Amino acid sequence: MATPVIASSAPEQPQATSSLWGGGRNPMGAQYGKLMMWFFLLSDAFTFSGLLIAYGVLRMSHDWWPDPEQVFQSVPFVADHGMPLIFVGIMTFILIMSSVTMVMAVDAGHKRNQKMVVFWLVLTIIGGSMFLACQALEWEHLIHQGASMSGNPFGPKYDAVAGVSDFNSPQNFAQLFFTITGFHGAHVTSGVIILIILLINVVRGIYQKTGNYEMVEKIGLYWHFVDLVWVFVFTFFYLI
Amino acid sequence: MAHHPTTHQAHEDHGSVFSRIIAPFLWLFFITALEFIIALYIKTEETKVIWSTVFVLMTLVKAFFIVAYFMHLKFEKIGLKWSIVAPMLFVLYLILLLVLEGRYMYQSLWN
Repeated sequence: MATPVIASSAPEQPQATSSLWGGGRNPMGAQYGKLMMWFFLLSDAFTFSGLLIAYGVLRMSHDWWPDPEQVFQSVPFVADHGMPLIFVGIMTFILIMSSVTMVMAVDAGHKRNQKMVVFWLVLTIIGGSMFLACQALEWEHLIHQGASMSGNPFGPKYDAVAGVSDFNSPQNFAQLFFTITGFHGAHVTSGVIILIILLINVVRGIYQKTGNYEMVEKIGLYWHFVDLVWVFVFTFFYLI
Repeated sequence: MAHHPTTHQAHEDHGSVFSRIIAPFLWLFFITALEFIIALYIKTEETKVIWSTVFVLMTLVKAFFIVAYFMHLKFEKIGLKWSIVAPMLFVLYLILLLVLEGRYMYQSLWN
């Protein structure tokens, strides 16, 4: 254990002591809020790991599993089928771009450039909203094809062109898809809401007054985590 | 709120905008583009297992770039780094355990 702290000798106001864990210092070199955001994200990573591992085990225990290139063939407003993985490619690109604009917002915050923080945050919010809209369109298409929490049309006899359904397929496929992308989408949704609140605070000049834009960094961590989860969801649902 | 003069200075010395933001983004972009090319044009039914392994490795590289550069973990103190990375090692063990169990379920159900 670290050097014991004698409570009775502690002064009224916390002061930096010589020992790293003695109080009054940030032993991890990060402010309390940022540290807690990291640990929240760690716990969130466990939740997503649980969902994705369940998906992996169920998939491995089946002798047949729908081929993503057969399932995800549509690009809304362009083609109903025949364009495998194009739409999810657009979604992935949007989310990576919104992560980049978020980094730029954090960077502008370090320079205490209020105008540029606002500019990059607005772009990030637009990116997040576009991703959500894409996901809504994709869900709508899959639901129209018969995918639901209790049924999966993408069986061995499924034909995207003819629209033939076969319910003798892994029942879990559609449910896992909706649960995992839905849980991720819920994170994007709350991320967009938090970003809007952050934007309002930045516009009101709250962080200009307190002198640091660390809140942008904390929300940025959350936003990058959402992007990180999508990288895994994308690989395990759309590529493999 | 107290003013923390050290917090924003600490981040200035970690390279240019290119090495911190543009280069990781280009890596993410090109790896993702490569994944699409492999999935659409190169992957066949026979080489599926090999490419799936490659996809997982590429995903881990992408995850590294997001966590290390975008989330800035590479430039944090060693204590913070390990308090995040070490618990995830247990997740790796869980994956190993349950993948083996999934294979066993497959063999006992379908063979």
